[in-house]
Amino acid sequence: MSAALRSLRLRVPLSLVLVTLLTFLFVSIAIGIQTSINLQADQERSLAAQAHALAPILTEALLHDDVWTAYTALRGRRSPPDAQTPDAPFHLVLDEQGRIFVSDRPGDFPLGTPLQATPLGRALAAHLGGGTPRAVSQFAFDDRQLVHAPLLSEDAPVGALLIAGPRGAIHQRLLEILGGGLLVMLMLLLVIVPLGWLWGSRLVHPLVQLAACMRQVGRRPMEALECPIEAGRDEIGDLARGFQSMLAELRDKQALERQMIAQDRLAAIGRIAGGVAHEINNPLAGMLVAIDNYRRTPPQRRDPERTLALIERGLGHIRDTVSALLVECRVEQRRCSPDDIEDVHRLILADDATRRVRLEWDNRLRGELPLPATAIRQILLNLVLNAVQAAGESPPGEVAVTLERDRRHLRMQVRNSGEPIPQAELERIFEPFRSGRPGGTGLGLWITYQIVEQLAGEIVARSDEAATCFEVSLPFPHDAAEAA
Amino acid sequence: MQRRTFLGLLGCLAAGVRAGDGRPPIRIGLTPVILDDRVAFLRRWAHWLEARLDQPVAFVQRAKYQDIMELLSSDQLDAAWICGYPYVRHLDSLDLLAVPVYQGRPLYRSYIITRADNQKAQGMQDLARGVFAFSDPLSNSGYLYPVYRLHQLFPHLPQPQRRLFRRTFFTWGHRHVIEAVGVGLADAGAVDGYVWDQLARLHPELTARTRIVERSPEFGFPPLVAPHHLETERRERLAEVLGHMHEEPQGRRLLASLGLDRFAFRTPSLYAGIALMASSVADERSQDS
Repeated sequence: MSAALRSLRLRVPLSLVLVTLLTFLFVSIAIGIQTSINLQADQERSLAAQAHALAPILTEALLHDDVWTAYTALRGRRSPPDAQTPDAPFHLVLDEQGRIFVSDRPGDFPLGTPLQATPLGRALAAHLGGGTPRAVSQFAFDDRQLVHAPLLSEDAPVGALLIAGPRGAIHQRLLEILGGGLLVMLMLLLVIVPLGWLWGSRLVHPLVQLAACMRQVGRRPMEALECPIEAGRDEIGDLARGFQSMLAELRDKQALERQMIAQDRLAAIGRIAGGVAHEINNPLAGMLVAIDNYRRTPPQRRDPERTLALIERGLGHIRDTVSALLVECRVEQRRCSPDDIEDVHRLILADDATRRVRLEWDNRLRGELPLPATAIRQILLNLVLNAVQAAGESPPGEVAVTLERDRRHLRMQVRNSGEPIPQAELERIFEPFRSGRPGGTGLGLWITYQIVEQLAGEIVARSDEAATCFEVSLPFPHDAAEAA
Repeated sequence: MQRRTFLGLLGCLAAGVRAGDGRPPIRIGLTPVILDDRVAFLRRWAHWLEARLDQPVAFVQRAKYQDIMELLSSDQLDAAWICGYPYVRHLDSLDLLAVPVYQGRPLYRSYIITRADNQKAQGMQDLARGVFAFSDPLSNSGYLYPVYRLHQLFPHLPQPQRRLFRRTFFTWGHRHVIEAVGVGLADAGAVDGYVWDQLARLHPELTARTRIVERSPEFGFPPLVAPHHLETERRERLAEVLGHMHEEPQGRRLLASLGLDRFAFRTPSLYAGIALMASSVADERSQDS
């Protein structure tokens, strides 16, 4: 089905037109069948009535051997030159011996010849079955309806009248009637079909408008969406009005969301600034205290080396903090090999915390990956150590690691059975200085996130009653993916 | 005198003078020796006769010659236009009123006709084993002559008209013979030559379907007769009116409509030929029986 036909704009008017046409078709067929039945009955009645009307005069003509009177009775009011068409009705009078006494088609049925020799005679014999009936009977022959009426004088047969109805009369009449009917129907259809089309189009128009509007949602900015829909008070009207109010609500919601995002961003910046300030403040305070102590100490007892070392440690701390915040994937040529992954596995197994959990390590990677080895090691180590820690807090802990690849991506999945992370927490989990554990720097997941970002990948955290799961997907560089 | 009374008297007088009021009509029998189904023409002719005879005139039509003959003999008709054959059979009880003059002579012929598409038949002898239509057993041209002719053609065959043909029937009218042959009901038939000619003039489509295979010798034209017992005055008056019909325009128009020249007075000897044939056939019949 073409796209145009899938649209209600065409389907509804077409359906209306189709239903109209089908209705007309079925009505025509019903009328045709009924008419044909009626015509058959009418013809039978008319032929029988004719036979009854002709019988007395023909009986008398037969008794008086009066061919001409019988002929004029058969001929009726038709004048002799009236050309007999082959399909026209005809009459036959048979004498007692079955010879043709008279017929109004003497060319085909010559006087005095036996009818038995003709196909009609044989059909008649088959119909009568050897008997001499006293009642009018009918049979069909050669697409004609025939009436056999015995001519009786005081109940004794003196001959018979045979009336053959017109050949194919019923079909012809039926065609005439149906032809006329069809003409009327066609004329009606000429009016009804365009009306049906118009009505259908009118009915669907608001729906089409609505659909066009809905397609715009998401493609164009909400503010630019204009949806004037001409709809009545029916269900489609309700739908249109509902859609309009939904659009309005969507616009409000979008505006609200933007406001909230801006606020969130400000809040996050605030939190990060606070965290950074805090991280820098601590060593700064230590350094200031060291300088203050140095000044207060009498010069002879001063130990500049110690103070300098103290200041150096503080500055180192600050440098570490700042450089951790400025995570940068150094460009390195070494690609990640299976050994790198196994190194991480071994490191994890060596950790004391790992002994308290059941680790499931499913490494499906084979061969080298077109990704920097250090970055992968760092991400994996961070995530697994976090997981082991989380799982270890609520025994019996379980950690499951899955590593796999397809043609274009490396996928890492790290699951643990630890306490679920609340939703609010989950939303901010990748922000710096938000350690879930005492003693943590709060920079692990931040760094992981930054590395994944720089590798143009994705990291997602999910948590529910069953498990907390981190999923990382890293795309292979374009040329490498092709090579793979 | 009151004007109303005068007008009333005048009305009475006029009514009394009007032709035919209260007087019995002259009843004239017609047979199919002419085209007797022309009702409008017969009305005009009756009106014309009424005006001349000063008496109502009624044409009486019957399907068969025999019916008219019976009406004549039972005194129910004052006159009749009959065929020469029944006339010669009732010579003793009928008087000749008038004999039509057709194409200058009071004579006519019988035609033996067949279907137009039957090109083989050249004479009556070629019509054997077919269906033959006679017009009326009392018709000269439509029965007596063809039977007589068959006797001549087949002198050793008794009742040839019954043995020669597959079937015969009477149509009770010359026009019907032409129709029966035309539609093929009969293969051949015998018909009044004058009627065939008239029909050819009025309804050529009917005669066009037939072909004349044989023409008989001439016979006396079917006459108008009156029974003996009709009052002489009436008979003479009727004969006189008919005899002078061609002398006035209206009468001539009526005659032209019949295709006749005039009515003439002739002696019964005009029908001697028919009488001869009748006696010949009757002898044959008596020999057979």
